[in-house]
Amino acid sequence: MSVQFSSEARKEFDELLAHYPYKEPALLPVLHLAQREFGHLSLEVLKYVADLLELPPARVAGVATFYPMYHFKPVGKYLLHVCATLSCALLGAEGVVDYLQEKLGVKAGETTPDGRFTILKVECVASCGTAPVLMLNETLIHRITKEKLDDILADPEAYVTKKKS
Amino acid sequence: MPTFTIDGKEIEIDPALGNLIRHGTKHGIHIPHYCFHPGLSAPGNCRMCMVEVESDTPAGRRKALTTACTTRPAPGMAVDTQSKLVKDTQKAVMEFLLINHPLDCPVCDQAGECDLQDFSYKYGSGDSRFQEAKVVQPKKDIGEHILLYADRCIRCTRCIRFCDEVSGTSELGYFYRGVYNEIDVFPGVRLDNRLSGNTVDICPVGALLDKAFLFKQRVWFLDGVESVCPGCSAGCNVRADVNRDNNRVYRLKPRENAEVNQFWMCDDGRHGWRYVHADNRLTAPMLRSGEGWAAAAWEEALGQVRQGFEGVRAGGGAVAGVLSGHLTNEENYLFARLMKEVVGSEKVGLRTRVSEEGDVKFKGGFTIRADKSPNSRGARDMAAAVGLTLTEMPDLLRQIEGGTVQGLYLLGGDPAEGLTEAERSAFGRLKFLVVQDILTSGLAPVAHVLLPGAAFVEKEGTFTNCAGRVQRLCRAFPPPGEAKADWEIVRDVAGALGGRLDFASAREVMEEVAQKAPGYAGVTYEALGSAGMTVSS
Amino acid sequence: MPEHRIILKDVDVPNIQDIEVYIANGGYRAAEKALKTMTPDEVIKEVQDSGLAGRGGAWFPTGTKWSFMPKEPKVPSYLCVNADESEPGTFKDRQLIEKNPHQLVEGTIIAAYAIRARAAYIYVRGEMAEGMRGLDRAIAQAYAKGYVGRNLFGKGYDLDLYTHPGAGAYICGEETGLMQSLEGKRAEPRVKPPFPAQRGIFGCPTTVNNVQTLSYVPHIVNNGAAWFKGIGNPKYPGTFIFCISGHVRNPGLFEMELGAATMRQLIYDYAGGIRDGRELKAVIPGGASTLPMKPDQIDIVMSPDQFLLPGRGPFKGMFGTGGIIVMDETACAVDMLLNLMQFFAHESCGQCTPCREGAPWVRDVVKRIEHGQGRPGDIDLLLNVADNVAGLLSPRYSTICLFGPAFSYPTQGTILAFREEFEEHIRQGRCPIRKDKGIR
Repeated sequence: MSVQFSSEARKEFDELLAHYPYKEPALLPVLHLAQREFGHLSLEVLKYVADLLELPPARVAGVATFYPMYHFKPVGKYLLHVCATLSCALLGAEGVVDYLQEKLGVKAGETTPDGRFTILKVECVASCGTAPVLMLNETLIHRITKEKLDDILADPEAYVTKKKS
Repeated sequence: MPTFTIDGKEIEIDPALGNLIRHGTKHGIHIPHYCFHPGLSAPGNCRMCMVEVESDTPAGRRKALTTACTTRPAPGMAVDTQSKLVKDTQKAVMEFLLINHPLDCPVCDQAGECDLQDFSYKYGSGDSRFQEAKVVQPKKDIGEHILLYADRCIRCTRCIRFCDEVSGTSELGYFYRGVYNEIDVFPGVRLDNRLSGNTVDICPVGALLDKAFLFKQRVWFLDGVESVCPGCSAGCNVRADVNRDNNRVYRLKPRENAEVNQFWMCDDGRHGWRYVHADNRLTAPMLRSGEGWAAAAWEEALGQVRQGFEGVRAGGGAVAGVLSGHLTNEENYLFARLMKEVVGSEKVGLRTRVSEEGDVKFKGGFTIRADKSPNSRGARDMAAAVGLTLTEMPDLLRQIEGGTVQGLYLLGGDPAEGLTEAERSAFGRLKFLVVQDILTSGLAPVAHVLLPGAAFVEKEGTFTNCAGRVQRLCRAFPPPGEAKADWEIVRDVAGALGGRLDFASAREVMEEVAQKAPGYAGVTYEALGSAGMTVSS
Repeated sequence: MPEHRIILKDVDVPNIQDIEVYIANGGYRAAEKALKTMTPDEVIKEVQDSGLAGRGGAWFPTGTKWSFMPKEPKVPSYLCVNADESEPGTFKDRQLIEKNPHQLVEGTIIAAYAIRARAAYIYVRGEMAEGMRGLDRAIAQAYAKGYVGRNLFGKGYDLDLYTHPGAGAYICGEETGLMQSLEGKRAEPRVKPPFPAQRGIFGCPTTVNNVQTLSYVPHIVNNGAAWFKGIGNPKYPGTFIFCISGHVRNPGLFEMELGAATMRQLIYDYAGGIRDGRELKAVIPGGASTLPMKPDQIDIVMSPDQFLLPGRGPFKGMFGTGGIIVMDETACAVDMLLNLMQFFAHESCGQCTPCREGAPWVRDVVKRIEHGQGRPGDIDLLLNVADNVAGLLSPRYSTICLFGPAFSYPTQGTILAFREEFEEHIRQGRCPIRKDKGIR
């Protein structure tokens, strides 16, 4: 098997297993770990996780495909999750998506050719009071405007590392 | 006796039955359902079986719409399957099921035995109001025997649960979410467990399909004939679906028998019957003629048999016989009597075929037996009934090699038959060998006379499985050409040898077996019915 | 406007996420009091007497829910904390988790003790990864102080506390969906019975509680049941966090007693009224599954007992989760329903027939209407299809879980309230509303 957890990831895997009385409940956090480690959940990675947790591969893949946060093809370094549900929609979410599509030259769901940005339309991320919102990887960015989008696209790393918010 | 009512009819509560659906079925009240299957868990996801249930709750007597598959009856419960609320819900569920379903009936194998068709007709509204774009899913080749036409799938999940609970192999998964969910295998891990064919049986629609049956035959042209699978000693109850116009079997399906195979059969048996219509079926008695064979009439062939045995005796040799674990109780019984009383020989062996793989047991308990002969137990019982002590085959072969035994009457009937090296060598020495079989391959090469017998769907008779259960085979159509039911051949050989084994039917033979075989008392074809009965040994 | 902060009181205390600061502010006194001086049954009684009810939308009396758990567990019992906040319009659990995690941890410890749980899992939606890490830090600090772990307060009670991430499924907010997901499965809700207290996670008795609900528990233990019971509406004592978003000037959170204000006061006095000087058109009172209300209905008092199901009397489900979404005249009722139906069709687990097939069907018809391709029979078709899933005005109910009514009720409610607008779309063959949804 050419896919393997690094020793740090393996350590984290072992700690996760200890949270549960048997292996199967660890599946969602382990899939998150695998996605962090390998970038996306390829068939090989899914099979690797299945073997680690002693679960049938069809079941592991079936669980993984239920949840939108898992990606099965390579995605960009910076995931632009644009919330498109009601409060954000009322306050310009479609415009945010259009603007990003225009600036990056790709459609929602796609990744820029240089592998930097992926645009994703997502459902309510529970910050309706600061709508419209965008999550850049794990960072929540409030009250999106054109200016803010320009800044994010210019220096996404600052947002990811929390120098800006 | 605690009771409840369905539509006013009082019904005794039977804990062994479980839910309302099974109680209804037992009393002739049909509650339509898809996802529930008595051999699997009940997920309650199709919503077709919803009924109104009035029962006592802590908050008083309440009436609620609920699924019959997940509800067990309680004393005093009143179930209504006919109310307007129930009927409206059934119409609604049928409409929902059909909106993304392709209008495939004219090209779908399932037509004629499709729960979607049947329930739509009985419980649906007969009209669709859906005018949007259907979600279309691809056709998938998911296993050696199995196709999945995913656009027809109604997501009952019986197939997934079968692979989890019965075969324990979990090849099928449920992928994605919402209306975009689909059933599939993990790439590279196909649906190839040896029970895979059962998923086609339990699929209520034409989503899971048997490749061997695809487009072969419309089910309304088929008659179901009850029989027993001849693939191993488990004795799974089967139904051979036969077209009477051309006397061909088109498929084998398992029949329910809680004591034997529950609802299932293995792929070996399900696909292992095609020899019945093989080109190399023996269709006439064959006599050795130089390097080849010539067909002969029965009278001539039987005459050859008599001459052959007389020739052996005249030369001081003995005539032996070999019973077959592949032939019925009636046939083995008559043969044992023939050898003992007519031929006057007690040198009788028994050939069975036991595979090296051992018993193959699955998670839910279903077992494919190592003994690939359907009637080893019965053949032994029949020898004992006639008072014969069986000679072990190695011993018999030694006697042939040593020249004591020079004539042999061998019963075959196993489509996968082959001679072992020892057998080929020994049989080659025989002065006279009569082989009774169904195919020209296998045992034929060293025989002097070939007598054409019948396959399991071509005769009446019984098998006794490894657990001592006697079960009936029913005849679907006659054997091809001049071939005959094996018990008839044995009877005719008896006559040709100057004896008399006077039976007009296999049923009559069993009547005598029931008197002569110790554990078989009370066995009649009526008593056996469709489910058989256990005998003691 | 009487905001009354109990659980939001300390969210702005600097570094309250640090256990030392939390303790200095009175933290973990309730946990100590409960575990050291009260029996589990006494804690249950205290919470029962307080009148605390589940704030996740069900309003089930919390103490009573705890009393269903076995008193002498033969197998481990578990507590699950529902931190999967995904209801459109709702954003208060995020605040509680991110700003005052120790309050939640303390409430969880007390609740776990009361139900004799061996372990508690805080199921945090996957998108709140930072919040989950904050909880992990808080839990580690609590372990270090001996508030979680072995032999708590020397009383022989062992408790382990873990976070567990979701991965983007709204249906994990449904308690049996949450349990399925926690077991490593697709979050397909279970048929009930059995109920979680009989068979929950890992086949063991389980209680599922909401973040907001548990955040009150330390305060109830500290100040007593009578204190809590005396706050606000006697039928629904205590406070509640309202979330207001949409076309208001000052969107945000507002914690107050149930019954202390009307919808009008919340919109105009607290949230500053409608932005850009526009007129109110519609309000969703409590999350995407509640029935939209019109301007002539906003004098309703914000308390669950005021919200009625048409023709069937009080139905607290119509009060919902407190996620108030305000829409002005630039909003289109059809477009609003389309947005919600896109959400619901995407989030349907797909397990049972009516929801799996019905949600996308409703979405597609509403989409046609919004895009000017509606047909005269479409409106009644929508009402009937939604009724087939779960009836607003009829006793029909055909799904495994509440997700059915979750989308069928707002479908029927929106059409009932705004039927003319739907008809206008069909008549004109286009959306006649001048929307203002561009990016600013």
